[in-house]
Amino acid sequence: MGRQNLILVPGLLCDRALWQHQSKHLVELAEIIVADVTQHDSMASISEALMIQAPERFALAGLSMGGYVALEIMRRAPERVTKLALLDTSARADTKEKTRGRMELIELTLKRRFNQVMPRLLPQLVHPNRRQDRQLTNAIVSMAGRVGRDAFVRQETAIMARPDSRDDLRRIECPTLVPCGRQDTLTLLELHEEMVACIPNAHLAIIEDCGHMSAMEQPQAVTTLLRDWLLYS
Amino acid sequence: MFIEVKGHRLNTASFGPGPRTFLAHGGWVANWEVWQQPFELMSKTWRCVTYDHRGSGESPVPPHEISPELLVDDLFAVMDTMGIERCLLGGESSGGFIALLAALRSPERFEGLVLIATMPAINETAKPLIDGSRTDYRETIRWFVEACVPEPDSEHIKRWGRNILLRAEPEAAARMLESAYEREFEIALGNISLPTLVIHGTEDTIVPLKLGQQIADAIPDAELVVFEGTGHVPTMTRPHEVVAAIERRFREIVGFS
Repeated sequence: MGRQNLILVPGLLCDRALWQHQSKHLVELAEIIVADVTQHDSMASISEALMIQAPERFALAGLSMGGYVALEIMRRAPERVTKLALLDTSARADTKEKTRGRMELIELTLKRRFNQVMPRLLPQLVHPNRRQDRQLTNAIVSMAGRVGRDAFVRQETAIMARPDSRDDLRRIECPTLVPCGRQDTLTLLELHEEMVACIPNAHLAIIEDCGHMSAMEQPQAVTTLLRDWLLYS
Repeated sequence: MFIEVKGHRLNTASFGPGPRTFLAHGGWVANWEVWQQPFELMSKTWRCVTYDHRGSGESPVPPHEISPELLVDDLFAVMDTMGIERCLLGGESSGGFIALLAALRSPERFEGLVLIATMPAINETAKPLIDGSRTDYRETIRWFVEACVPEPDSEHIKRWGRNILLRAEPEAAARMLESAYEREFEIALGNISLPTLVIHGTEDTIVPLKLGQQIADAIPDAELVVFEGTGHVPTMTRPHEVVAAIERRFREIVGFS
C-alpha cells in the first residue's frame, strides 16, 4: 500500500466535477474519495456522515462550503487528518447580509424557481474574464442542476448555521495549505490571510487570474499545488 | 472467550487453526450463534472468528453506547486483541452494514468482503423494529423472526432465532438500528475496493433482493450469488451453500501481504 488517502470536499452546488482535473491527475499519488455533501443540513451531520465512511487517516481538501466541512472535521477528529487544504473559503460565520442573500435564494427555490439561482450566483463565482467562457459556465451550471434544489436548500441551511471557526484555527496542528483565487470575490483574499495567520503550520497560495471556483477555473494550478502538498508537507 | 476492549467485555467465539482468518459480524442484536453452522464447516481450513457485538448476547452495554462508529471501533479492537492482522470480513444483515464501514475505514486490513442479506443504508424500513422494540419487544421479535424464515420445516430455526434475539435488552435493540437510522446516510459503495461476495435470498422480505443487487452493482469487484427460496438468514437456513459460495469466491487468496 503506502498511497495516501485524499478526501476532496465539494462546495455549494458542486459535485465531483469540481475536482475532475485533480481526481484525474493525482491518482498515482493518492486514493481519492470525493465526499457527498448533498444529504444533510448541518455541518455536524455532513461531517459525521463523511467521517463514518472515511479511511482511518486521510489528507483533507475542501473548497468553499467544503472548507467549512473540513473545519468542522478538524474540530471533531483532528487526529484523523494528516494534512489540510482550505481553498476559497473562510473561517468566519455568515454575516447578516450573506444570510439574507441565502434566505432569498432558498425562497426562490421553494417557489419552484431554482433555475434562477445559478444565474444569480454565477457572476460571483468566477473571474470576470471567464464569465463568457461557455465551457466553464456550462459545466458549473450543469453541476448545480445535478446537485438539485433539495440538496441546495440543505446545503444553504448548513452554511448559514456554521459556527465562527477563528478560535479553533490555532489548534490545527497538521500542515495546512490555503489556496485562494486572487480575484475571488465571494471569499476575499484577506479572509485567507486571516486563516494563515492563525493556523500554526499554514501557507498561503494565491492563484492568479482566478475567482472563487479555483479547481475548475485554474485546474492545473490547483492540481500542482495539491500535488506538492501531498508530496512535501 | 471474553476479551476486554476499551473498558467493556466482548464475548468472542473462535474456531479452527487458519492460516486464513474469516471474521464475521452478526446482524441487529443477533449474537455469535448465527455463524455457528458455517463455522463448523469452514473451521477445517479457516480460523473462524465472531463475537457478540456490543448490545447483543453476552456483550451488554448501556444502550446509549451503541452506535455504528463504536461497533466499527470494536471490530478493530477484536482484530488487534486477537492478533488478526488481515482477514476476510463477513457480515449478515446490519452486520454487513458494519462490515462495509470497517472496509471503508481500513481497507488494507481485509482480503475481501462477504455481505449476506445486507443493506446499504438503515432507513425508515427499520422504524417498525425500533418502535416495536420499545413497545412490545417479545411480540416484535416473534413477527420479525417469522418474516426472516419463510423456509418450510424451520420451526427449530425460528425458535433459535427468537431465543438469540431475546437475550438483548429491548432498548439496545432499538438503539442498534436507531443510532444508524438517525444518521441518515447511505454507504458510498463505489469507494469499496475489496473483492466482494454478495449473498441474498429471493424470499428475503426484511431486506429485499433488489438491495443486494444494488450493492453488487455498485461495488466494483463484487459478485452476487442469489439463493432461491431463501429468506433473511441464510447462515442459519443454508449454511452449506453459504460456505460453498465463500470458498468458490475466495479460493484464490494466496497468503497475506
